[in-house]
Amino acid sequence: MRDQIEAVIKAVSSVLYGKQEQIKLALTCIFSQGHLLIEDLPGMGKTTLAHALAKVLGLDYQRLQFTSDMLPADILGVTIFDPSSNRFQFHPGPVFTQLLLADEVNRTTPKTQSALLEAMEERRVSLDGQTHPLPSPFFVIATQNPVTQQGTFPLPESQLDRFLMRIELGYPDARAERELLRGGDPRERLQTLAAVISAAELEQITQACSAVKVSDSILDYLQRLIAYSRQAPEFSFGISPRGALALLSASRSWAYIDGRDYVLPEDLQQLLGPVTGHRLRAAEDIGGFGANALIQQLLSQVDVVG
Amino acid sequence: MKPLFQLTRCSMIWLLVSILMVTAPYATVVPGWLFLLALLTVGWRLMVHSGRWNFPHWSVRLVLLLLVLVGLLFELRAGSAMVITVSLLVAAFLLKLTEMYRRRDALVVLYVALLLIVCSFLFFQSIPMAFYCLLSLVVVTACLNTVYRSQQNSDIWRPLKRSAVLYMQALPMMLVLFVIFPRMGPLWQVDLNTGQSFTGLSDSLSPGDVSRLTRSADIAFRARFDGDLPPENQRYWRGLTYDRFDGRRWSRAEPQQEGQIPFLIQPNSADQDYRYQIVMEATGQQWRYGLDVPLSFPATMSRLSDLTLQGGEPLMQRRQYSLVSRSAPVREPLLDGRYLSYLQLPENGNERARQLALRWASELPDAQSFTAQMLTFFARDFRYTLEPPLLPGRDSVDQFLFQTRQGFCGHFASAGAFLLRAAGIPARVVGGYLGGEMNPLDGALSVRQYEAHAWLEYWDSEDLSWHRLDPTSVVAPLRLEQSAAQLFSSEPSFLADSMLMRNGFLSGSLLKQLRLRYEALNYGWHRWVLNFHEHQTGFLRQLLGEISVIRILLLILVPGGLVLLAVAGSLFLRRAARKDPLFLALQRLDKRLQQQGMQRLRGETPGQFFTRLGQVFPTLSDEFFALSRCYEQISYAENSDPQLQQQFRQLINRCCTQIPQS
Repeated sequence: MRDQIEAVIKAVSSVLYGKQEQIKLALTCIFSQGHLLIEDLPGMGKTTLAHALAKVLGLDYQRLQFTSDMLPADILGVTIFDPSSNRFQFHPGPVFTQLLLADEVNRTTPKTQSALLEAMEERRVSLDGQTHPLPSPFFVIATQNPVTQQGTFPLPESQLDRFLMRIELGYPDARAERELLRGGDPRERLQTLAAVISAAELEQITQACSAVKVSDSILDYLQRLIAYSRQAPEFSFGISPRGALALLSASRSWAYIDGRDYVLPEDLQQLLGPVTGHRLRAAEDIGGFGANALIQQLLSQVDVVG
Repeated sequence: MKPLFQLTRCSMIWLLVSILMVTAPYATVVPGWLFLLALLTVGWRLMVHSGRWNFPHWSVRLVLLLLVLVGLLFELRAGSAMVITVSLLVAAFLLKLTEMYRRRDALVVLYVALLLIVCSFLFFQSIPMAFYCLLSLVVVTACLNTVYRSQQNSDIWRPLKRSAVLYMQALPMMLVLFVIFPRMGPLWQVDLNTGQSFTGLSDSLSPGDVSRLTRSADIAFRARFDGDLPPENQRYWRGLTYDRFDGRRWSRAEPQQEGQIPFLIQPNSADQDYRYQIVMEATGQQWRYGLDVPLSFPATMSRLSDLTLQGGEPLMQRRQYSLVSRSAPVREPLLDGRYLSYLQLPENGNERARQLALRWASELPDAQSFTAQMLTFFARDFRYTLEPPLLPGRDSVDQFLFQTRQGFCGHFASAGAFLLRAAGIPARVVGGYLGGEMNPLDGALSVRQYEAHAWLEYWDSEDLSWHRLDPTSVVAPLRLEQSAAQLFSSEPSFLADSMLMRNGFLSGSLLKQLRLRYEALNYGWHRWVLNFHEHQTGFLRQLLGEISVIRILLLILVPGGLVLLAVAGSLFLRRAARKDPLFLALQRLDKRLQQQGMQRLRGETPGQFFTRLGQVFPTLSDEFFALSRCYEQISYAENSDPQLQQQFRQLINRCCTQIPQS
């Protein structure tokens, strides 16, 4: 099983150079059955990562480019009158897939955003009084441009909270960039990627991840972190119970990917930023630009061993 | 002036509740118009709090103050000084509300509230009141708590809980202090003539007076006997005597001297001495009740020449005292002046009665046969009733003896004494109580107002002694055998003022049980709480063997020390439980590292720490790596392999010995 994970990482790395860390985080997110939000500038490889993951994991996927004039029906599907059968027929939208790549999710209006986010939370779509379950597994990898860019509708906290993780890709380092420049368009190589694991294996990995051991010392540490975030005046609000659960489940998957069947404090430290960065807000941060500096403070102020 | 300190909403609510609770008991004490002042100031304060009004201008406050002072000056003519003082305190308390600018002002209001709670004990001392005061104390403390907290807290019950917990914690100390704290005599005494009216005997008696008392079921006093109880027909509780008759009313003549005349209680081995304690309710009068005839009494009381017990001052509060009594005739050589005073009658009036007395006197040789004749006369065709016809005329005794022939004990005692005096036999009317209800819960007799009774005493010249004579005993012999309640229960006016009691008598035992329980509780409250100072010495001696400073100190220090020990012990145990061997070993390493100026940073995981140590001490890097693995296995993988622990300790030991000492 571990070999397969290694193979997945390797395969994705072959199209996205020098981003091992981010690939591992994205896998962690998927193994924890969470949705992933990738936030970065255009052209940083967000879409490439999403595509590569879908291919390698053997999931059928749809890509949806969000625009400002998009409507909920464009995502969820529509019910149309069919004259031949003389009845209404539901035509599923692009959301009915195992992996949905929602590109530039903050380009569209809140109405459309919330249609997607509802489907993410409930894992089903309710339209015209009928409920249509989404396929299982169902993952959303959403990309968004930094909120400082023009023409964006920032996702509110309640909707950001639906994403297990938010990661940034960042510029590649010089060596990776050189390789990229030499290798030509990664999109072509993307076509050659084949599935490395099957859906059943993915299911197995997911179950193995949730069985990773969490000791009392880890829970103590987690609770100290939560308590600090709730009490320290630098935070305008602390880590929610949902955030804490997300951190714990992500840490398990991370530990599993790392080849362990127990969680270390390092796992929590590694994932605190991706998992809680978009959930926390600094007291002075009115615009909601994240709390990455605060995460570092949190880590340096809370005792690991009580 | 703007407030420099804004009360939080929570504080405001608790402040209003405090004011309400603290001033409510005074509603019956202070003048009624203070209620208007309370409405005004509280209302104003609320408007200020909601931001609609400003604090009153100083001139408005001055006018209010002057009005209050003038009003209280007017009250001074009617009420007692104590009531006025307390009223002033209440008024000042209410007025202070309108100038609460700073936190200090709010504190002053609350401190005065505490003082007012204490002051309410001057007027009320019942059990419910004590609990009410405790509750007020908790509420005021809760409010104090909110005033000191600047942060707004949405949970308004939390301060109350906190304050309740505070008092619960203080309870043991309170009890210890209650038991051992020395009771000092009052530094000054206040005259608490609160103008309240008491039910009970008064210092004059007209025939209808006693039956008026049967409308009330208030307790007159309670008696607890050390040994046997007197038989029911001997439970004559002496109050006071009436020796002057004006044709209608009996009253007390000029002050009776105190113990001037030597008494001799007839020595008779058959008569038993009764030892008992009485808890007497407030009467507003000087005399005290005691079983006929009181032999010995506390030094604070005196026995007058007519055998009336008298205390030092009017009884304004419930009080307890011990007596010894014996039921026997009292020998007293009546000297001329006193002899004549017991024969006093109006110059004229009631002629038929006088003639009857003179006729009997001429026929019968001595006082004993005279009284026997009189009792036969009463027994023949007189009727005993709570609602006798009125006797409006001048010759009320004649009317009673020859026309209406219906009466209550007062009528019979009064007429009997008249006949005796008319026949030349010294006589006096005695007012008191007859009977008493046994409370099985604490073994005390409760004597109630409806058991008020009047009888008479005559002086027999043969043995020079006063003898008790109760005409009621022949007219209504049941009155002596049964409780008054049973006897009167069919009379409509009986207990007309206490319907609950009356219904209780008629309907059965549950109410009666409750009532008995309450009375027993009240008695215990009085004996063990209000009057604890009387038993304190005895109680402490029982507890300690001997009262000395050292023993008292031990009494405080030993329980206190035990509590502190328990707290310290639990803290120590909690700490020790955390110190597993792993932790101790790690601590040892930490200590050694600290000597080298190294320590684990906050936020540094054990793995990172050991890696860093490996870099600092390259020779030990393998050991530190192994330590890190070991630690992770034990602490995070929860591997409980004893070998692993062993290995961990060995590694620690190796590191400790190899780290160079400074």
